[in-house]
Amino acid sequence: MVDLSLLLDRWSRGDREAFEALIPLVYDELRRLADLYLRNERDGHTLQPTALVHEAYLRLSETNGQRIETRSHFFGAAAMAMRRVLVDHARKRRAAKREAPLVTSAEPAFETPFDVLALNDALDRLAAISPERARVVELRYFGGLSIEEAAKVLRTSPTTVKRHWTFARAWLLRALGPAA
Amino acid sequence: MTGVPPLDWDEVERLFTTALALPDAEARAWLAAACAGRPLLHAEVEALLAAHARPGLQLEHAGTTVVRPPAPGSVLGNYRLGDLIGAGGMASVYRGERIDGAFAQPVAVKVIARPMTDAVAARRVRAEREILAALRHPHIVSLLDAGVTGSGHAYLVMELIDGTPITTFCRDRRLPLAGRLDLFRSICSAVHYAHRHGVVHRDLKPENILVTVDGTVKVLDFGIAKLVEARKAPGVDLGVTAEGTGPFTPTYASPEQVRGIALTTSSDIYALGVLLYELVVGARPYETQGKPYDEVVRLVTQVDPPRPSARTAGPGVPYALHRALAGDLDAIVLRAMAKEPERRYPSADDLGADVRRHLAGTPVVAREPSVGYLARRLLARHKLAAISLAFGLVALVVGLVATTWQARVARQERDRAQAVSRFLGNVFRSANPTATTGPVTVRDLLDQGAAALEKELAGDPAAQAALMFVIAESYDRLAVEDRAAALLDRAVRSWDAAGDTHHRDMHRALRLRGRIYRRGGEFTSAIATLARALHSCHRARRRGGATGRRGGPRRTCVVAGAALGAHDGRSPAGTNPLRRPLRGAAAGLALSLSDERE
Repeated sequence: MVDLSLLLDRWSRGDREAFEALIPLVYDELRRLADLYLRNERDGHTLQPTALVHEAYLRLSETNGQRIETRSHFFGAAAMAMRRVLVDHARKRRAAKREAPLVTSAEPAFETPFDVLALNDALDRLAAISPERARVVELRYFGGLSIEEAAKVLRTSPTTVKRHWTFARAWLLRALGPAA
Repeated sequence: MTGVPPLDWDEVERLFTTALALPDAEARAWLAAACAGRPLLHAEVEALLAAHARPGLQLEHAGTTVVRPPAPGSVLGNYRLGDLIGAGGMASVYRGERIDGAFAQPVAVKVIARPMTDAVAARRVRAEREILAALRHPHIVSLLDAGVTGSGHAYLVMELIDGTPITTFCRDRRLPLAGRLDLFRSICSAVHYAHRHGVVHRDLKPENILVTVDGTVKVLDFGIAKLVEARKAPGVDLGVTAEGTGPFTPTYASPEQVRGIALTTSSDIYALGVLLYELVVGARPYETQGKPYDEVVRLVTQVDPPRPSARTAGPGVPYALHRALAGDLDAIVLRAMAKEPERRYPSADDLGADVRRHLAGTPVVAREPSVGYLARRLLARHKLAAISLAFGLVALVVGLVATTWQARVARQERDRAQAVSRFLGNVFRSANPTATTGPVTVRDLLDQGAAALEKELAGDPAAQAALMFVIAESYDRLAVEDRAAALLDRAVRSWDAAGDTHHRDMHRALRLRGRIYRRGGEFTSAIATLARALHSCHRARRRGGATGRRGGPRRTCVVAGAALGAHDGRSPAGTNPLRRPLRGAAAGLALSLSDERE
C-alpha cells in the first residue's frame, strides 16, 4: 500500500524519487475532486483551485489516518498537480469546442482573463530561463502557498521568494501581452 | 544570436526590484546609469517595470498589493465623498452627498478597494446596479446608484443608515429571546424578498445587518459580494481563499462556499442559521479565528456544530435559556445550518415561518418528520444497503453473543459484546430524527457509526476492526469508495495492532480494499493488497481459523488476476515485477488448501 506520509517524509528530506511517486497520487485526487465539482456545478460558477488543493490535502491526510507533518511539502506537490489538472481541463475544453461547436453544454468553465494554456506556456518559457522562479509562481499561483510556505518548500529565504515572485509576475505579465 | 551574451537573470531581478523601491523619477535615472552601455539589459528591466505598473494586475496574490482608497473630498460621479465612516479589506465606506443638489438625502458611498480594469467588469456593475436598485423592502438598505470610477474602482451609493450591528444591538440592549427572534424574522422576510428577485446576498453576517435606534432592522450589501468577486479572475485566481482572506466571512460561510462551489439562495439560508445561532446563544457555532484554512474547511464541511442548547448548558448561564433553546430552536438552527443544501429550509420564508411557529407554540417543521416516515424513506432510497447493513450488524452481535453463551468464556468476550451493542444503540439513537435535523439516510448512519466507532471501542481494536469492516462494506455498496477505503485501511491497522492478523474478516477486508484500488486504476496497490489478502487467508487456514468456504480465496485470486491483467496492459510483456509476490502468496494458499483436502 502506498504510504503518503512516508513519501512526503522522504521527499522533505530531499528524495527526488519519492516526489515522483507522490505526484500521480495527488494528481488523481485533485482530478477526481475537480471532476466531481465540475459535474455538480451550475453555469457561471467556477472552482477555486486553492480551495481544491486544501480539500485534497484534507482528504489524503485523513485517508492516511494521521496528520501530515510536512504540510507545506504536500502543497508543493499539489501545486504542480493542480497546474496539470487545470491545463488538462483547458485542453479538453478547447478540443471539445473545436470538434463540436454546436454543443452548448452547461459545462462550467475555468474562465480566466488570459487562459490557462497561455499561462502554462509562458510559465514553461520562464522555466527555461529560470526554473526556480517558475517554481515560485507554480507554488503561489496553483498551490496557493504563502511566501513563507513557498520558502520552506524551496529551502530558501522568504526574502528571496518574494523577490522572485515580484520579478516572475512582471515577467509573465509581459510575456502574456498587453492586458487591455 | 551570436556575440550577444545572455542576460543574467539574477542581475535583471536585482535591478528590477531595486528600481521598484525607488520613486518613479529617480528610478529612471538610476536605472539608466546602472545599465550604461548595456541597452539589452536596460530594455529588459524597463519592460518588466512597465508590466509591473500595468493596472489591474491579474496575477496578483491576495495581500501583496495595497490599493489606496480615494481621499475624502474626491468626487465620484454625482457624489462628493465626505468622512470615511468605515474601512475593511475589500471596501471603504464614506459619508457622501450629491453634488448636483438633486436631493439632499445623505448617502453612504462604498468604494470597492480593488480596481476592475476590464470592460466586462464595468458592464457587470451596471447590470448589477439595475437589479439591486429594484430591491425595495423596509428591511433592505436601498441602492441608489453605482458606477465605476476612471481609475477602475467600483462604487455603490446607498441610503445612509445610522445603526449598530445586530449582535451588538442585542447585547447592549439585553434584548430578550423573543425580541431577538422577532428581529430575525424581519431579516428572513428581507432575504426572502431579495431571493424572489433573483438576488443572493452571499455575505450575510452581523456587520451587514444593522438595527437603528428605533429598533428597525436593515440588511446591507445585497449582492455586493458578487461585485467584489467580479473583479477577480474566476477559476484560476490565485490566493482567492488561500490564506483565509477570501471574500467570504469564514464563520458565516456555508460548506459549499468554503469549497468555492455553487452559491445559491441556500447558502444564504445557511448564513441565516449561523446568525440565528449567534443571536440565541451569544457565541458563534465554530471558532474559526486564527485557524489555518484547511482546518476551517474541515470544521465547516465536516463537523456538526454543537446544539445551541448544549452551548447554554454550562454554569453561569440561566437554565431558563437552555430550556428555551432545547427542542424547537435547536432543530430550527441545525436544519438551517445543514451541511447539504437540500436538507436546509427550502426558503428564507420557511425558516422565518418556523420561528413564528415556535413563538406561537405550534409544532415546528424542523422537528418533523416521524420515525415511520423516515424509515420508509430510508428503505425506499437505499434498500439494498440498508438491509445488508442491518443484517451485517445483527449477524455480528448474534455471533458475539452466541460465543459468549456457548463457551461462557472470557469475560473479555462478554465485555466486547456489550460494548458493541452499546455502540449500535448509540448510533441508532443519534440517528433519531428528533435529535438531529432532517431525514436520516443510510449514509448518515454510516457516518455517525464510523465516527462513534473511533471513540467507543478504542479499547478493543479487534472488535473495532470487525465493525469497521461491516461499515466499510456498506459504504462500498453506496459507492462511497473513499470512505470505504479509509475504514478498511484503519481496520487492517487495528488487526495488525491487535496481533490478530489471521482474522477471517481480514482476508475479506483486504480483498475489498484491493477491489477498490483496482476500480480506481491503482493496479500496483491493488496487487500488493490482494497478495496480502491471500497471505492472510493462508495464515488463517494454517491456524485452523474458521474459513469454511473455498469460494473466498478463489474470488480473491480472480480479482488479483484482473488487476494483474490490467497492469500488464500498461507494462511491457513479461516484465511485470508484481507477478512474483502474487505467485508466492497463491502458492502458499494452494498448499494449505490441499492440506485441508487430505
